[in-house]
Amino acid sequence: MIKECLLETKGIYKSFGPTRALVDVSIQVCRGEIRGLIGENGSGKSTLSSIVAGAQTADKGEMFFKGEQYLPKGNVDAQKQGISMVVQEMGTIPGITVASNIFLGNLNQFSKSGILSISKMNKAAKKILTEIGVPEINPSMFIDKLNFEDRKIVEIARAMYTEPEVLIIDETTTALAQKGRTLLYKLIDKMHKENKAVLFISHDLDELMSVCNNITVLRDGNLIDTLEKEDMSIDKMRRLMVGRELKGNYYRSDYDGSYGKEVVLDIRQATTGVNVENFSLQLHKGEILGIGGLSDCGMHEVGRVAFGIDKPLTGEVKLIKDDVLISNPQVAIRNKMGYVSKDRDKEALILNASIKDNITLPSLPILENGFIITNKSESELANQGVDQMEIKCYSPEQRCNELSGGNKQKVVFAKWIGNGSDILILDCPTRGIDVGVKANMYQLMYQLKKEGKSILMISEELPELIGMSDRILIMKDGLIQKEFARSEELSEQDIIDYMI
Amino acid sequence: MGTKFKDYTLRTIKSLLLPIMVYVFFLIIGNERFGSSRQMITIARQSVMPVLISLAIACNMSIGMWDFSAGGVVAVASIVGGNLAKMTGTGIPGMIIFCMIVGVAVASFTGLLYNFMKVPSIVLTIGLVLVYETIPFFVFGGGGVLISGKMTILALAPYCFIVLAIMFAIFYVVFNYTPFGHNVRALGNGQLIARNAGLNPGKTKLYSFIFGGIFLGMAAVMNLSVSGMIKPAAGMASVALVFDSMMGIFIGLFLSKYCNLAIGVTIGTFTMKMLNTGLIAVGFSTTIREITTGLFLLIILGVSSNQGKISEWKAKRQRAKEANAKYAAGTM
Repeated sequence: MIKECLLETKGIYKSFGPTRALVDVSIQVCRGEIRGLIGENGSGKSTLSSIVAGAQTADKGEMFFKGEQYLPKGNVDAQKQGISMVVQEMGTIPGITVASNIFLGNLNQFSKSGILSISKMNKAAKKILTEIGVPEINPSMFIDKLNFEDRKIVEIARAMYTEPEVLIIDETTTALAQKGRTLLYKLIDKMHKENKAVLFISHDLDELMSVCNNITVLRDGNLIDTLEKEDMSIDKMRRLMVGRELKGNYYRSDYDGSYGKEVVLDIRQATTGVNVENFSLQLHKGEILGIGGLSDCGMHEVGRVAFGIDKPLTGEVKLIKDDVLISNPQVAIRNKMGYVSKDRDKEALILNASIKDNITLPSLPILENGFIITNKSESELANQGVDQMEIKCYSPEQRCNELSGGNKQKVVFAKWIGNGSDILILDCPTRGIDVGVKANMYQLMYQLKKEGKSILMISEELPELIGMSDRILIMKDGLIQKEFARSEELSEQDIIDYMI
Repeated sequence: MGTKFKDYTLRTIKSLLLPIMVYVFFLIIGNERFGSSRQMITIARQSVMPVLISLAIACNMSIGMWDFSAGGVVAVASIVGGNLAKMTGTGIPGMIIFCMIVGVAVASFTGLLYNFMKVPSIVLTIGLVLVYETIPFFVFGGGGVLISGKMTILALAPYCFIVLAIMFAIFYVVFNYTPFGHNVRALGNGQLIARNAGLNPGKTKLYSFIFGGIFLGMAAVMNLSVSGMIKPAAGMASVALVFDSMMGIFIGLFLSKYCNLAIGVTIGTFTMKMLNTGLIAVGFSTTIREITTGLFLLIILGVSSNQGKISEWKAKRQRAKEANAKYAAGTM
């Protein structure tokens, strides 16, 4: 049976300054298809999807939707024509209601003689929320009262209310827990059954394998291949994405789990405002200590307390060697500690500043010569970071907001490595980054360990914890439930039992 | 139902607490020179024009646009609108219509220029103050406007309150029950997301200036009715009109946690007027009055920014106490 082509892009080109984001990309998405779109960070997946969704325009090329030329004037126009998108970033507005968020930009449909019918709008919002499976969300409540996941679900409702024929999901599942994921998968299945199409972007290759009918691979803005279901394999996808063999396990290969005897960081009886109570741990020299658990188990708070961002209500965080209490991030940085936040864009980077400014920021006291910091010394440090981390940029002067997620994370790492940090607290260090960059990060972490640096790695990914840690602490309800030593036999199932 | 009523009552009390506190304070220290019902009505009358200006610039400020030219617009609308009403002999209706037309026209010009020039609103509107203040010099050869008799009737009670009630109702409905009002709030809370959702920020901002122009036109009518005579302003004197209203808006934004912005702005502006009258009543000099007004505003903003800190501190202390007790019990 010949499938009807629903969406087609022909020879799409897009550049941002000297960076070529898309080069001659042509794809066809047929009715009933769940098309995965994969590639390393900066490969062009988000650019392509945003062009299809009307958020950007292509420099060159054509698009066809349902056989007719398709030239969306913007997101709303694309949505009206039948293509909706759920974006990677937070896309709801605080201070207004759930219903207002759903119908943002389309409120006129509920107004008569210029007056908005709030009840009509709430009713319509309730209908769509019920349809997608979340009748419990009250459309008249202010969105601020919802948690992160439910806000993301409201975005999905916004994308679905026009009953799109093509739904683009751009790395949304990383923001969703089980409830949101189940809801999204049901919607995808519904779209498939209704002979509509989904363009699904994710870094989770297992998820893509289970959800998609076929997968298109992009690399450096070029279309590499489209794999049909029967041709898909994790190794093949990885190879196509990074352009080199990246087979099987890319974590460290040793299982001795050894580290120094010297305790470098001691957290004793720490209690935080929420989640963590009387928590204690000791990090050793040359150790990668993993902390895992469910997202709200308190592990992220431990990272913040360890770096002095949140002051513990009880107990203390101490650097043993110099007998220094970590009371705030300034003390931590002065004592060679670094922190990679889970929330990269808000807490780890100054997005409007250059790569150079970000890398050199914690190192300014080192670069100071009297009262002067020379441009030369700054540039040397920045260039060193860019080279070492292989950051894809046209210059260290490039602003961080122009970089892909993986390259942003490389800047964050470069910042702390440039600072010569001896203790690194990494909160979800590989969140939202592709396999190629992940492999680099793991290599770097292992190298740092061998150099005698200590790493506290907080992660929601069990394979990462098992693959990289010398010891793993599993947390639940703010307490350590179980400690695991590094072992070849350790499996995810062994750990999960203590998490839930 | 019970919880809703309790919540509503609590919010109402919180909203009215500030003006009540100011009233009681001056009633106590005012030595019978403050607090009579007659005086309160006078303060309410004097608050009408600042409230109208507050409402005019509230939308712009909630989108993050400062409008220092509002006083200049009021000055232009008063002089041009008043003179046109006199020239055409159209009386109060003419004065209202002409002032509003001029107010809307000048405010629209500000909005268009803002969209066209893409300069920060604070820079643009300060520059425009100088331009607007000179318009009457060109149009009427430097002369102001003088009205008398029945033309000033709107300054008196109950007419001034009827005007305020009508304008307040318009603002309330537009801000809360129209797509424009919702768009303003969406833009104020997340400009980039709102734009990506298909909202046109330029258009909404222009409408916001135009909408404000209606209120500035009405403020011009009240300005003219109260004073009877308006001379062209010079040297940015018209900015003083905006400052009074801005203070009201700051309080309004603080109170908007408990009540609607329109109500908050009205309460805020009235409170500031009451504070000023109270300070005069207790015999403070102009300098002391200005210092006190400034400090009052700083205290309000300080409290607003640090709200909940005490209860947060108490909760933390309690949690630490409990954690320590558990730890001690576990290790003993």
